Amino acid sequence: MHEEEAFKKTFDASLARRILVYVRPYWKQVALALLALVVSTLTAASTPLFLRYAIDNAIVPKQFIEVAQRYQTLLLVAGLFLAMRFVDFAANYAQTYLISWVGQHILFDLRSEIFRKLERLHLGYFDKNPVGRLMTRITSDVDAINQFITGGLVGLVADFFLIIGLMTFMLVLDWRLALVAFAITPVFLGVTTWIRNGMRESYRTMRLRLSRVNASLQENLAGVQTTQLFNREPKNQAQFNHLSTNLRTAWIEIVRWYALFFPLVGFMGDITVALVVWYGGGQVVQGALTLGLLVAFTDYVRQLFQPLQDLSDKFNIFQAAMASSERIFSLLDTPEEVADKLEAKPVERFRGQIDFEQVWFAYGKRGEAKPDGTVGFPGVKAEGLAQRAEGQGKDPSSLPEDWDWVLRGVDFHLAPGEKVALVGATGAGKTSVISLVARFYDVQQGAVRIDGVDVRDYVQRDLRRSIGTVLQDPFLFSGTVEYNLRLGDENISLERVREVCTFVGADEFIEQLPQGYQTVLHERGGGLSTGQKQLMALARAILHNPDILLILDEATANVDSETEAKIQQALYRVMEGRTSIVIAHRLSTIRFVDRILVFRKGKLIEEGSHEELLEKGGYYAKLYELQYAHS
Amino acid sequence: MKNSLVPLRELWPFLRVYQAQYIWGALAGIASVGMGAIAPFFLRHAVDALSSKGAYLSWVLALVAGAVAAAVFSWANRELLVKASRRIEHDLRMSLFSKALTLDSYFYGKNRIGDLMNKFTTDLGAVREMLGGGVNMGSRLFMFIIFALIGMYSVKVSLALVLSAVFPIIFTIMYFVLQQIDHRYRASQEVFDAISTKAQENFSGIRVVKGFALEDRELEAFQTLNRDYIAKSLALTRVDGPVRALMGVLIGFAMLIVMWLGGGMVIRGEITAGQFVQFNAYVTMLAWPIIGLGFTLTIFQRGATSHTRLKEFWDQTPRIADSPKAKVLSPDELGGEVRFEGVGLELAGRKVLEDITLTIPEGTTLGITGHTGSGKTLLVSLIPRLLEPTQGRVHLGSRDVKALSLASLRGVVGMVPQEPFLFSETLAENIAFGIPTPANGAVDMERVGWAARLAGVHEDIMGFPQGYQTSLGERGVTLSGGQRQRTALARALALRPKVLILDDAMSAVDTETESRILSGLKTMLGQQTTLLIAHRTSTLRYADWIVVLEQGKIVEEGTHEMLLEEDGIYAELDRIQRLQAEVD
Repeated sequence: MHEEEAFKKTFDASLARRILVYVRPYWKQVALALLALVVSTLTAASTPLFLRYAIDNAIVPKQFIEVAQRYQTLLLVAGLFLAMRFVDFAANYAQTYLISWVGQHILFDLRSEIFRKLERLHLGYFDKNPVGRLMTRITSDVDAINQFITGGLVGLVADFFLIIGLMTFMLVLDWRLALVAFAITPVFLGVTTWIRNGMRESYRTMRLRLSRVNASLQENLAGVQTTQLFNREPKNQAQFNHLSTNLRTAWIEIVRWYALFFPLVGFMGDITVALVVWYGGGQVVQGALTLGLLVAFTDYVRQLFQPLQDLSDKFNIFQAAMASSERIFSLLDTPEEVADKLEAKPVERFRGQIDFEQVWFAYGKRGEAKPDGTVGFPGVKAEGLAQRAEGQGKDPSSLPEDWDWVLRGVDFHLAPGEKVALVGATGAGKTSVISLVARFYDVQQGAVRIDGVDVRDYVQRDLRRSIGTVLQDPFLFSGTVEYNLRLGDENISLERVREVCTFVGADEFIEQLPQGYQTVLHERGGGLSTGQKQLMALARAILHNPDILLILDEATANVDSETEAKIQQALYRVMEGRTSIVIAHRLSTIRFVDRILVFRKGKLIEEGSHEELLEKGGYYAKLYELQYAHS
Repeated sequence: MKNSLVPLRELWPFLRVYQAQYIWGALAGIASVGMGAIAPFFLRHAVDALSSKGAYLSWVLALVAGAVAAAVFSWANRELLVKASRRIEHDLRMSLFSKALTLDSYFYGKNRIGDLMNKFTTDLGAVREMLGGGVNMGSRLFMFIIFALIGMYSVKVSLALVLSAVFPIIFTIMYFVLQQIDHRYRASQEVFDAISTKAQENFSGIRVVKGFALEDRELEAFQTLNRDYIAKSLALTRVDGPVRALMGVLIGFAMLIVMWLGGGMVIRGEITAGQFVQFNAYVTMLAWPIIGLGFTLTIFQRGATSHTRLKEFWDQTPRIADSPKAKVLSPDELGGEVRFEGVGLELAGRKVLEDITLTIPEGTTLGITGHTGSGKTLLVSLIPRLLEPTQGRVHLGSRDVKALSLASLRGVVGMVPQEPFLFSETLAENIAFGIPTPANGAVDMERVGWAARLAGVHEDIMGFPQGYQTSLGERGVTLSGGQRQRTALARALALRPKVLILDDAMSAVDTETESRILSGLKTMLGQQTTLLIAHRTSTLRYADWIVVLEQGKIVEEGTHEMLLEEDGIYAELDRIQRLQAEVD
């Protein structure tokens, strides 16, 4: 709907100026292309002159010329004509190639800029904007701008050149005959504009109806079982028939315009030729005009009508580009909420001390639902969002009421090398704690410090490079296993990859894949089991040698006991000697950590070792019974 | 070309409906081409009249008359033929749609919706293009070339012969160039797809990208692909861009021959100046059909490929369909007892249900529970024949469900899945979804309201500004998970089903509302047989009999109390859930 309405947007000078900024680096190529354009215009405009010269001086000469002489002239003209065609070809080639070159480079620049911008934007932006929308920016919107520059702008200039060039030639050759030929142009422009506008309107209707047909189709295919269960096939068919018939009507309307357009355009061309022959013929009879010139003129008339025909089409391209560029620029202008400070600190190595100091955190205001209902890490449902701030805890009056608080004054401190487990019900805020350490989001109040420095003061990339994050559903790229482990880091040797994989126990299954480490994984690692993917994720994190480990170890069904044992062992091994925060779902995991932090509704309510907490008989004891005692 | 005619023959049933439009349209097309071809003839006489300073006006008038006739014929051609192709497109779309509605879950399990959508958009479009533009352009071009050749030969045979030798060469070159364009276009599209994939992966996997600080590397990889795309696109431009100019050069050669040889003929007095102009006009005329022919061939190639894909779809036969002897029975003739007799089910070589024997007497409620993947949904799917058992039989009343027509079977089974599918219609229309529409097309609001109250969604609906007329989907409201489930329940209840299947249908409804709905169902109806899949023991309490499934087998069964006493899986489940309630 949005896209459809945006289409109506008219020309906007400031947007156009901003688009032109992207053309500036290539002004030389554009200038060359325009030069080639002038040449090809000249060749096109001069072609009829050869015919004229041949007719008047060789074929049907006005005065007596010797036959041999006439042959020679004919040969000369024919040769020149062909040479001209080659020049035309060269100029045409140069022009189209250069324009396409410029267009492609602008596409490249725009795509890179959008991509770079998106990689810098905070995660919150991705929570709010579905991937499909972002894809539109980088594909069709970018393309509309390319169209604007190459097809619209340059096409308009080219047509303009051609029209002016042809008209000038005609006027110079015989201004009276030229005026006769131009007589029909206003009518021609009027008629083509009328039809084009009609077409545009019908196209708009058609697109609207087409999107309805497609939406209905999608819905009917997705809900086919429901339709069948309720015996609704006949009615759905009738409804779809209605939509499809509407679409057909819209198409037929478009066909009607086309059916008018071509014959009318052709007819007006023919009429103009007839006019020229009628008026020019009289001149020829009176001897005021040569036959060759008359024939040349009929050629000019036909050539002139093509660019005139296309003129109104160009404006449509302009409008489409306006809507697209507005969307692109608004993306590029989005402020980066999680950004590096000017004097951000680089990170060499972390000792691994982590401090949460009275941290208050919310993903957004109340009622701001995320499109896919997920926040934090993918696949983790944001039940925390549904919880309401109760206004308890640390001085609530200083904090806005309308935020959906996920963490409410969380305070804990980790010594270097300490291993802790976060425990709590779904939505208690465990995932958010992990997101904040890696600074995927910024806190609203309080601070998260690593080695005594606020994470907001570090260079983001350095910070994250030193932190290994293990997601329970590791995102795998399409590429080889090796690529997914090294993630393109050339400094990691294949030996090291094998070593780490052996260390976490992933080497065995990887070697069993058809091409071992060179096996190409399909979309999202299809073909690997959940357990195998988790082992890969561990290996991947360790390979990049982090000082701090963050692990989301969600309980997963469908992991066989053997793999399960491997994962447990791997977890134990990788956490040794590193500051580690793990969201534990395995009994074995919480057994070997140094400390357990128990979260409930965004607050840290209990902490201590497993035994201490069990003895206390509080919330943890219940939770333990519920979540772990049976696993 | 020969192979291209195969789809035309196979599409004949669709074409036949519009044969009159096609024939008259094609004739009009030929006539308009003929008019175009005759214009140079008039031009020639006008020129000759001028060269001899004779009367030329009548020829100018002939030119005008020819132009009018050409315009009218050309208009009629499109009005008839192209419009007919749009009508066929609609007919084809409806045919595909009807087919889609008959296919079963086996088919939809194997085919992605995106791929099916492609059949309706890309493939259908390519076939339409073939039947419309392809056929029209093909026939017109053919006639165009014939007329131009006739015209040329009528002027001067020797000159025409020379050009007849030249044109096949030009055509061959052009055809080769067009093929190159096609190849290079595909190559650039492949890179473009890779770019899309890369971008998509980066946006969906942004946490990994940021988490491992891969921004620079990913940007580099993205730009490498983009650079490749530039190269591929420019390779395409190199053949695609100057195609018209190339045509100009090629036609330039032809015109050179005409100018040189033809000009000589005029000088020698073998032909007149007018004939020379006429001949020249035919040569220019031929430029367009040569490019056009190449395009037409491409249209037919694409159309044939797409037609093959559509044909595959048309040729699908659903496994679940009415048997030839299927009985059409009214609801009153059907009993409500559900019986599974030694039922087993294999899917993709795996046994997912084994040896299920159960009788659910009319009017009673069976509770079903078990872990994810234990086969609960599969079991109930056998009743409305969404799946077919590989062993044993499922009975409704006293009849095997296979012996009933799908319409009469499904007419008495109301099913509410865990993630119900609602359509982008009004709430009233969604709830009345299964009620046969009366002749006046009005929705039976009384029944809708009754069902909504029973499903506990009436209050919610009245809370929307437009009440029951509120639309769902993109342009309407978004319902919460619980509201969706209750709306789906109302939809099933509105059927007044003999068998009601609740497949974890209230997982998103809070416990209190759920128990209110369940008690309501019990007291108000009590007529229908109910199958209640649930995880919460508090829900299962409402069932008269409960079965626990594990890996496709019944491992425990009994009443709520019996199972608690048995102290097995069910009792453990109950204990954990009580604890859970305390923790939350």
